[in-house]
Amino acid sequence: MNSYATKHLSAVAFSGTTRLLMAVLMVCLLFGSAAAQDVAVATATATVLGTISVSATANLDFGQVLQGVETSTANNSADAAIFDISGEADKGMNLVLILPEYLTKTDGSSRMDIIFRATDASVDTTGASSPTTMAGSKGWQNTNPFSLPAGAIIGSSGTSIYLGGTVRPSANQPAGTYEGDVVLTVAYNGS
Amino acid sequence: MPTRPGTASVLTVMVVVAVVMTATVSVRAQGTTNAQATARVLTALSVTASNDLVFGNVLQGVPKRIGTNVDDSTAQFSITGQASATISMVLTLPTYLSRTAGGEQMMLVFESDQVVVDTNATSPSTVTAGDGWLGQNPYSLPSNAVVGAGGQTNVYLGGKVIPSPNQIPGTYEANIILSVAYLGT
Repeated sequence: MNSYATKHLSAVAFSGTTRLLMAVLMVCLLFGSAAAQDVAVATATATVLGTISVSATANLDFGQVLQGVETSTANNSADAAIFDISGEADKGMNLVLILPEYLTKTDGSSRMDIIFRATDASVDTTGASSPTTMAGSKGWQNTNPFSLPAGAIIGSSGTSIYLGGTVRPSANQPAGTYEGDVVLTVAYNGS
Repeated sequence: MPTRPGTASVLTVMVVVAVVMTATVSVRAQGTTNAQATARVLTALSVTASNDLVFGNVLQGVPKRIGTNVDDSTAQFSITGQASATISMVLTLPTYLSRTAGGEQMMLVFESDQVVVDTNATSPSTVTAGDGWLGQNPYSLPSNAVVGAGGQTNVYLGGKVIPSPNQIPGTYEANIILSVAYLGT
């Protein structure tokens, strides 16, 4: 009896499977190879150009100064600060100088005023890294260090920034060596 | 017990009648009629990527946006199928591009108006509002989109890459996937 029931159930199960296969077959026949859905893939691509970088290759050197005697270094002198910029040629960049208001005696015991005038910077798009040979035809000469040219670009051989300034030692300025940081930040601006 | 005369005849008649009835019933049980199941499979739905989303050269720290109207740079998908049939469309969008040389990623974003659905299958630069849907959200494409009357609908996709200020130079890529299906409405 149990054997009969088992066989009977098996026969029912087989019948269901057959119907399922037939249904699948019917669906395949009905729809054939026609696609009811599809997928496509596109690619997003971008190429990042050359890295922009800047290095300080010469310090702004005032040399020896006397108490109470204002001393300047011109941006076209051999003692001017030099920043050299490299990156993708002919691309525009933003230039921002962060300028100190004083120099600090290396032992930290005293300060000395430093000022930058509106003509103390030059932007040399030939990348010559040579303040003494700078000319107006090479970029921007005697420009404002607090507002460097918005149209500055990286020259095919780089771009150099030259910076001068003025120190104003007080009448009783303590003797010693004084220092301060001048920071130039550069970035592509997309132009 | 002996059978009475006439009894056999009655039985014979009953059997014959029964056979005739059975035969009659049987003939009626075999009556058939036919119906047909019919279906017409419409044009297959297919989609192809006919143009990539090309940002070209980008600079460190300078985001670059490609709109939906740049023939050479906007991503373009072409969907073909049964004219006027409604379809669902789902874009699978990457969140960054990967440097092909490895080791670096670059952010990629899709703003809420960077898709155009063009049921007249014109082109990114010439499509107008009358051609379908402009300024659509790529994460939620129109639910009532259709295959165009001419059997084709195009999808145009823009995007924006945001390279970091110290993004490593090189070529970056990512896949954009468009899935389409008939809705049956």
